[in-house]
Amino acid sequence: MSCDVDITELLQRVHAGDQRALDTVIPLVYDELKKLSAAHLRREGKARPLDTTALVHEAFLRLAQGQAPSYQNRSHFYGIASRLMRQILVDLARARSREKRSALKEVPLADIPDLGRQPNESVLVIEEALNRLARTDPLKVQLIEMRYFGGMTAEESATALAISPHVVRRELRVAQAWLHKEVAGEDRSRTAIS
Amino acid sequence: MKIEVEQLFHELADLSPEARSNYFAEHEIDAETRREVEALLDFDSGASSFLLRDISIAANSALPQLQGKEWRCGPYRLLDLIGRGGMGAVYLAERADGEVTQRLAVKLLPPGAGDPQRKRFLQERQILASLAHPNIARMLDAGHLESGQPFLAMEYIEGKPIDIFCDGLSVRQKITLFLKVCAAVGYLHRNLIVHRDLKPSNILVTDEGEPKLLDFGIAKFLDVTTDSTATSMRMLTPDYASPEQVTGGRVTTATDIYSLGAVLYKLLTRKPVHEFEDHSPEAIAWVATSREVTRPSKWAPELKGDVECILLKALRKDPHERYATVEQFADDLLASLEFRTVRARSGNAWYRTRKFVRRYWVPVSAAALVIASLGVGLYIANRERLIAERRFQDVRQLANKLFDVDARVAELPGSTRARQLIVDTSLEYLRRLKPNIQGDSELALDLGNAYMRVARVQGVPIAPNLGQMDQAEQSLKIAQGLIESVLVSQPSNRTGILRAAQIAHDRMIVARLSGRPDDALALARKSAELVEKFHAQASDKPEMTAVLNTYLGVADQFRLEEQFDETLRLCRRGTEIARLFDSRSYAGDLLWVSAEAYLFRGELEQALKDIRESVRLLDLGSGDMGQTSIHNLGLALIKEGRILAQDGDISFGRSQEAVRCLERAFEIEDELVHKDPLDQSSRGRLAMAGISLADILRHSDAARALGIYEHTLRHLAEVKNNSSFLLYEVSALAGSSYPLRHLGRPAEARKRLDAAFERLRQLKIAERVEVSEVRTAICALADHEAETSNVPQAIEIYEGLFKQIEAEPEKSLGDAVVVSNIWAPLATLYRRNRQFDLASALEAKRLSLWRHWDQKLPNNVFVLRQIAAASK
Repeated sequence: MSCDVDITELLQRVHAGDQRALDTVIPLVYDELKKLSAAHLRREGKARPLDTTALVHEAFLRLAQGQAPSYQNRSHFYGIASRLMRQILVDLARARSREKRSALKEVPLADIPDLGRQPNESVLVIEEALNRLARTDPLKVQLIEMRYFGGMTAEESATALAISPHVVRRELRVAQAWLHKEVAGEDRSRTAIS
Repeated sequence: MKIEVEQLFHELADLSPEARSNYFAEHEIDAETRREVEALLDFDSGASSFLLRDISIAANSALPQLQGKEWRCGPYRLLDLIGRGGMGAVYLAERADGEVTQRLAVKLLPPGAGDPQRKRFLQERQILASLAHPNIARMLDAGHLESGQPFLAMEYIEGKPIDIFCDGLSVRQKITLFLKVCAAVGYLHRNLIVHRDLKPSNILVTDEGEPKLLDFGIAKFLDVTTDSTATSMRMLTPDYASPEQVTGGRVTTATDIYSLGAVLYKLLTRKPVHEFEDHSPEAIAWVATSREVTRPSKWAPELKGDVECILLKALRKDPHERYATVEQFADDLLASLEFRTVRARSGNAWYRTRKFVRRYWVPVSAAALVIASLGVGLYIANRERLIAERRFQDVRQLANKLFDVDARVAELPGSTRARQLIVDTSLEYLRRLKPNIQGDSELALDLGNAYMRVARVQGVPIAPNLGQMDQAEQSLKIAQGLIESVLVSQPSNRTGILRAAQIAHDRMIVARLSGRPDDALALARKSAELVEKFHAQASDKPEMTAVLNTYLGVADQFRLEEQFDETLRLCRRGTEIARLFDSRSYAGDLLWVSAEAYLFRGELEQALKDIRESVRLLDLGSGDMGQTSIHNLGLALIKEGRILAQDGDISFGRSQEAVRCLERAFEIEDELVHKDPLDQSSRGRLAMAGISLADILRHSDAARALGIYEHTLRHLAEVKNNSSFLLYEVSALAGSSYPLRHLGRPAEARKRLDAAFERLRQLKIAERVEVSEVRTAICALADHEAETSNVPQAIEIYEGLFKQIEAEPEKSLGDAVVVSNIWAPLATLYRRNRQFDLASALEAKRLSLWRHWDQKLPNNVFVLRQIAAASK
């Protein structure tokens, strides 16, 4: 049971953006990240082969010390992996965003074409919406993570969370509609501002 | 999100727009709620693909960000992850310092690994560091990262898993390749390492066709790359795991043999040994332990026969029924290959097939038992060994531990190969330890003891041994040096005294069997002096066994040198001690020696009484000495037979009774040799029994006698470089010349005699007429000349022999027999050569000699018979 508590605590810290906590957990799951990343692209139907080795390197090597907590079962494991995937993708998107902003300073405003939001920034918008949602509805956030960051099926999520697959599907449906609405609303408001 | 909004969303989501409008019309819903629900419903469609797209794009963008980074591990640049698992991750890497371009595999302990994992990783590095074999991936480097995370660098094998490489190869090519894998696994086992995870993905074959075994750590990681059924769970690959692994039983070298068998099965049939329909642990365990292996010939009919039998033997459920060693497995595979070429040429296929089949269908349960216990021992030893490399104290304990294993192994038949393994390993440890002595008397005693025990396994013929007497003598000399270095400073060190007595005893045995009787006698005196000194303080049973062994051997040596008073004194003391400790076997053996002494003094009744008591004690069952007691029962029966009747020697002359004893001894020894063809001491006794038996039978049944000589010679021919076996050969060769002539084959008889002298020259003892086998050969040659009508030549040989003999026939009954055995045929020959005066004179001398003995030994059966013979 103490394992369980440790993981929960750790995940809360990861969620709060504690880099060291992330470093501790990622080694636990690095071996699945490659698969998750590939799973996304398969779903998108992209034929281009993707070298996901570097992602695994990132997960594995930047994170050395610490006692790795164990996970209870395969589903629990995927749950943790899903959260980490989200964390990694968001961290890296933020880094890109920072670089771009600093690059923007050097470029005359007129030269920037109005392309609206860059697609790769949408993950940050999703992240903000998820953080809002988490305040009132953490279960939905978890299901979104599992489904979209972790590539888990409804049945897998149901097992991991000990709820029925029916509930999972219901919750997901409303949650993803809400997210879609929020992100689209963000776009609309941006367009309005510009 | 408000609860009402969610509930409405679910109720309306699957309705048509009209149905939704109707719903709102029929229910009273406030405007804000309605707006929120409708907004959500608007974004319901396409929500899923939107999220998938955006998150995938993020993942795609993330990867190039990471790819620019350089991953370093010590001096190596990591290029690609090629395997991973609970025990670490393996990367393809190259040197990053630009010194040389070298590709290698770097293995890292996973961060966050616990202490047991870390310990195992370090142990694995240590094992790898000690291995050097062309078919095992080499370790190149080892180190730690700043974080303390250990890594090791290995040879990077660019190759294909063996099953893929084997596609399209012939059976012969596959087996030839597989034999190299066996060599690597055999090497591991000799180094006390059990691989435990042999499977095709762990055996890569390079473009040059060299298989390379990957260490078991890496092996675990590489299973992702090939066989998909093997990787679904982080557990053993059921296709190659032995039943005992699947059920959590004991892992031994037999486990690797099973896995090797399973790999070969896959290579030859392209099928796994078992098809697992259900991958639950219970189902796998059931199949592995209960389902019969499908005969390989079902998939590949050409395997029917030899190869199929070999595979099925390697794949037995019971580890005890598998090949006892990888070498045996490989030997059989090689034989199956060679057999085919031989069959193609010789046309003698049936015999060879039968012989071959017999070889691996021989029941080897006892041998398997040994290997099973050895396997456990080795596994323990392996663990011990790793620590040992850091601290020599542990090596020292290990050396002793190995002998504990040997002590168990030694008592069982079929154990010789296992013991060779122990000897090789022990010597390696001992050599490593020896430079560390420097005044440490405890260590010197331990080492001395260890070398002595090694010598016994190598070739001191007091127990089953490997027949390597020369190596044994070297080890004994080292042992002696070590013990004497202790006795110089501590002359009354008890252990030192006992060890010195034992070593002198063992060297005495070796000296005797190497044809150096003077050395042997000197060593016997030394040993007797030491052991009697020790006896005064003797206290526990292992010591007592050592003491009794020494008494026995030394008494026997004195007997051989005809120091009978000394012999009988030592036998009496020894028997007292044996009775004190209720040791039937030792009492039986000591009685054997005293019987022998009485026999030499001509005291036949006393001798027969002692030997029969000895046979009785030894025949009561295994008793306290196990296998040794069977050996000595054989020896005692031989002696009983010889007391009852022995050609040209002191005996009752009761041939029929003698034949019965010798036949039984011959059968016992034949069975022992059959059980363990490498056990030389049984083979030696087989020769003794065979020669004695044939020597009697040749007077009545030439054909049967010849058969027994031949049988004996065949057994002797299988042993090389052992001087006592050469002497047995001399006796059998010389003896067989009599029945050969009798059967009308004088030319062959002559060849046998030439061969006998050739052996004597080889031993450099052709002139040493005090050795009985030399006299036997010379007399046989003279008899041959006589019977092939070359009487003068025969006379010359006997006269020459007589001149060379330095005998005291009036003092020694043995000498009297020797002399009489020359005089009797010589007199006959003189007579045939019409030298009647010489003949009469010799006959008179002979009669007078035996009358002299009649006075010394009144009413002695043997002497009376001699007088009767001489009077004719």
